[in-house]
Amino acid sequence: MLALIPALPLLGAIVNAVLNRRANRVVAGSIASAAVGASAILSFLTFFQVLGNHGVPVTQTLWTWMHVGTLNVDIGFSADPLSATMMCIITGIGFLIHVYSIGYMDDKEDARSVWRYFSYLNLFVFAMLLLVMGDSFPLMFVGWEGVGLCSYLLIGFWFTNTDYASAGKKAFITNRVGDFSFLIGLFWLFWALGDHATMNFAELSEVVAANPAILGGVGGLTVTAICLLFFGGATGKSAQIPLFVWLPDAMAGPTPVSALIHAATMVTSGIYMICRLSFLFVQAPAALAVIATIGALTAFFAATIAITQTDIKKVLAYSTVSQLGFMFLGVGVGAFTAGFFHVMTHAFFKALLFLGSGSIIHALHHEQDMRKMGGLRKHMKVTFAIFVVGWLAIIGFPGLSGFFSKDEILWLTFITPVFEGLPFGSVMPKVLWALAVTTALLTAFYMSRLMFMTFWGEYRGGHAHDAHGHGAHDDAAHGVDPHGAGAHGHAADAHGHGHAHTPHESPLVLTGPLLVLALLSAVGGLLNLPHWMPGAGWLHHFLEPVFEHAHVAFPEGNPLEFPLMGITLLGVAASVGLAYYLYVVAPAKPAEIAARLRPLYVGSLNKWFVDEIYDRVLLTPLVLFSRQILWAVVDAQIIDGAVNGAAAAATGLGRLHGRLVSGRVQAYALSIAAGAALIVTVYALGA
Amino acid sequence: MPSLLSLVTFLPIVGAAIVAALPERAAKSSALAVSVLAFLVSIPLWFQFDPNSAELFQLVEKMDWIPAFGVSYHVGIDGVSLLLILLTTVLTPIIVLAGFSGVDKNQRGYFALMLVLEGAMIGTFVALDTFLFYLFWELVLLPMYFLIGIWGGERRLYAAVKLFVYTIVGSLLMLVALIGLYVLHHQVEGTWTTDLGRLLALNIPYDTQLWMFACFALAFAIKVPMFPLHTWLPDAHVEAPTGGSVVLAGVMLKMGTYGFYRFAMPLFPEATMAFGPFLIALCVIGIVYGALVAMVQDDVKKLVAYSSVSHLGFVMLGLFALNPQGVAGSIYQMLNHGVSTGALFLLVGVLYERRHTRKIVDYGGLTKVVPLFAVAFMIVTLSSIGLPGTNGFVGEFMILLGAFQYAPIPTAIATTGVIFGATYMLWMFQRVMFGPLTNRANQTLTDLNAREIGYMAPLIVLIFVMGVFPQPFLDRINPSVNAFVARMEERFDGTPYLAAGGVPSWIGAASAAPAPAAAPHDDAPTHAAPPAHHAPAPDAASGAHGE
Repeated sequence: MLALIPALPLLGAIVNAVLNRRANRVVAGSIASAAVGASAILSFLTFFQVLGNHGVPVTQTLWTWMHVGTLNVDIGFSADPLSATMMCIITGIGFLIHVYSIGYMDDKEDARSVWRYFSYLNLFVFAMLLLVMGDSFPLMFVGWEGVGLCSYLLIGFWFTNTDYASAGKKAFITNRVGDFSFLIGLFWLFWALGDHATMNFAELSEVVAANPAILGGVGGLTVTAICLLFFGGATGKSAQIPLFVWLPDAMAGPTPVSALIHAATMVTSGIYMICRLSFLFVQAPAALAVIATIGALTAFFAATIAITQTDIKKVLAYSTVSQLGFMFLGVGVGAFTAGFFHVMTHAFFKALLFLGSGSIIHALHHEQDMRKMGGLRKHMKVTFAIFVVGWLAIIGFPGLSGFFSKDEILWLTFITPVFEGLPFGSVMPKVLWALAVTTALLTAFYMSRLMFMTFWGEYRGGHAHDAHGHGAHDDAAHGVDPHGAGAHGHAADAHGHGHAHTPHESPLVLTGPLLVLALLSAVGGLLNLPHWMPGAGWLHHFLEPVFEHAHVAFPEGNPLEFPLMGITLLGVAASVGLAYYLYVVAPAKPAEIAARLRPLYVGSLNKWFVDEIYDRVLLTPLVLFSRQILWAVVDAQIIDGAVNGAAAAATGLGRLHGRLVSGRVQAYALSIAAGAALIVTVYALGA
Repeated sequence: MPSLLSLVTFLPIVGAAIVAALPERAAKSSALAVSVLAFLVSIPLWFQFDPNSAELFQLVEKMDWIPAFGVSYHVGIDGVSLLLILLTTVLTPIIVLAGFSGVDKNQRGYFALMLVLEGAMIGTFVALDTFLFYLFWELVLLPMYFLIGIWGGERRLYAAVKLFVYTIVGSLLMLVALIGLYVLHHQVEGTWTTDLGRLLALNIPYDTQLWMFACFALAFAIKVPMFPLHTWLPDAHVEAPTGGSVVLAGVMLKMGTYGFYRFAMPLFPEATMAFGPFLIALCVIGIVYGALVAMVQDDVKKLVAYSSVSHLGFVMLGLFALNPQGVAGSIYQMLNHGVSTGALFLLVGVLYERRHTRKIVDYGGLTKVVPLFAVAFMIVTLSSIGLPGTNGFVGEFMILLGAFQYAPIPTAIATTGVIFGATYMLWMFQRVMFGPLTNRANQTLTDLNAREIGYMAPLIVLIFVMGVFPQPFLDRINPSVNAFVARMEERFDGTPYLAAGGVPSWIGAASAAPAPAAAPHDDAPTHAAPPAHHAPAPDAASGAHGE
């Protein structure tokens, strides 16, 4: 039965590919949704089975994949508490997003290719399920690269637009950089295990538990290096410094794709992988410190970009990078359950926010610029209501899901014991905490800015003919925004309808899934309530078997917990207030501030020029070097020069040419024979 | 009635004579019939070969040929030969079918040469006698020379001569070493023989091994081709007709890697150890260099040609890992490269026939007009970049895993090939297939026709089958690989360079070779205290004093 869970979406993908253009939007969408829906039912059944088993995994092995020497890999699946939870998130949210897509992908221009969309989307669910269900590294890697492929295909879904196709390619290649690191880590791990070499997670966990020193013990160089290499893989897939650059560009894909792949599921693979290997990571405190630091820095860095973006999806994209940073901070301080809990709540509220933005974009005929929105709460009441839930959840409004998960990460960061013994080990938790709280305040600010610019004030759109004019608007009047504005202009090209309109509420097929997600975003926190509430820590308890060998003893009874929470909450409230003042009360202020802090503003608006730096420092020199040195000089002049020179010197290339033209290769055959005979004679006589 | 193996080898050659004898208008159908028949005849090999047999070489035929010189007709196959033969017999009908269009002059000659080529290539994979092998090896060159020289593009003569000169230089050196080996066997054992099995039993002095290995290695390295001996390949590929490119990439290049596997390395194990670090360095350079140069090509065929340099670098790297994972991965990757790169050249050929250009800039946005072609092209591209689930991943993964044990740092550098591979392939794919359809000449492109679908489909099926169910293939490869690795390990203790819990040796491969200074010499029958763990085994050394 377990194998059916990934098999059904794969089947759906194949059916839609075979039906091809014969399947219209509703048919293709229904097939795809049914496949994922059935898979979701089986996933929940499996989940309850694991729950009933008290965490004993459900497994199934299909066939031998690779068996050579000491390498022995099967196609086998395992559903333990961690993967079973992920399966439910993937198929559950996946199902909602499939249904939503039936309503969303209704552009006439896409009618002939919409089967492709649903086929890819099903294929993605299949790959994502392989990633979490695979019981060995190589099978996980199939999913790991498979989701990258689907992401590539879906980002470039509107491939006639060169920018979109490039965004897809950038995502794939950046992910490959991470995969490179992952592979090296895996090779190293395999050989470092010596006679215990295995690629199977369960076996690996047993081997490490039985031989704690096999990788050098806690703090050992080998285990630290391996963990850092694995984390390198995670920075690609989960968009962390230095490989986060692909995710914002990935927003070129259809918005439901952004919700499913680039917010709720695929980008959390890195966290999943670290949780899966938590028994290794706890042996490497230095690696954990790097993870926590990178996570906190990424969270902060991405938030500083999000505050000035004007494309609603770009804000959400940087917000995703930032929230992923929070998750890494969580696992980095040894709070694996907390990090994973944030994966879960984030999946709810970020899918909600993306789909909500999709509802707006759909209603405004592919308008994504918040400067052309405004006042939408009057026109789109349902969308507004669910957006409020998502907004309150992400900024950590008490009681909503994001509050519980984010607060747990913040608190456990403050008190984490895992850095003891490392240089700066005692101050590090406090610094990371401060950085994370600052980020939480920035989050509250930019999300509120998004809300106020979109839903408050007066509607500023309605002049579709003006879509290409970048006239002075209140926020980014002086902006230098080559990417955001450029990409957005293309979106209008491809799908704009070019007539004036008033925004309208989206149909039920769009709002239905939103309502479910809104409910989950609101009450998802119940799954893992903090220790001071009744019914606390259900998820923590459920995941205990997974983290059995990765136990971190957080100190209890610290009196600072509530005061610190209070500080955070006050700061969040102040940030919301500031955003309200700047974007509702005094909408001319942001431009003034931007003018006064111009270097900072331009930097933030242009994503601190990271793309440009990578381009100038890495890509351009590499291409130039390959073209001008390797190809033009080494290949054409040095090697070929030597070959041609030798040939010319030996026989005179001209005569050779002439003879060959007249077809006298026999002469060469003859000379081979003659030469051979000569050598035999000489050698035989000499001997 | 000849036995099966001889039948498989000579049927295409006899068929070539028939094709040549029949009138021109029967050329296509008769060639297709012969190649399909050759494929059908080769199928029983898969079933008659017993992967669990204790016999390494099966279906052996042996008879005296030129007894006075000790030359025998000795053929037989292990799992590696088996799969390479099947690769050849699968690809040939596909190549013939692809040649139904695009070959506009002297079709009889074209197809007859293609069939001779098939027979000769199979011959190199079955030969267990060095003389027989050399004969087939040289026989391969001539049809290829004419295929490029007659049916090639504008600069076909330059390309054909370059191929010829490069290959003949290597072949002559190999011949010298073969003769040397022949004479040495006579000196030591007192009998003349060219039989591989008996030559393998010979204990060859270390110094002699070095120069003989160098000769063999040069011949094979040119064929592979390894950096820096690769520059004949891009020219040959660009000028060759589609069928020529497919057979070149699909099978002929593997003759080089197969030569290392079957002859150069087992015959001269100590020399292999000695040259190992040097050759691994060349592999790594080739992988990265090939990929970077591929990235900046503006001709699709040239791009694929340079990607072959990179991919074959992986194959060689796996061989020199000298452990089961690396070597089996290398063998598997030979097959994969044949399937994937063969398919890539076929697809490039499809475009070329329609538009008569290979320049990337002449294309763009083709997906809209040729959706089926786009799907096929995407799948083959993904296979080429080793996406898990396709064949390319299985081979690449095993190679890199295996090589990492032997040489961590060089392997890490080689692994960057997976990044560059994705870069050049996807960039090319994007420029050809995505974006707006700006070139008006492309707006009337026709999608794959039934014949083209017919010959692409088997390769696309193989891409997935070999990616998802590699074990039946690996079961056939493994006994041969284990014997190969065991033979190598006899000569050194095989200590993993990455001990449990340890840190890899940062200098990587450099520590793996026996220091030449410590190796025994001809005139030093008592071995001069070799270092404890990398020295040749005593039996190898004691055979050194032949005189």
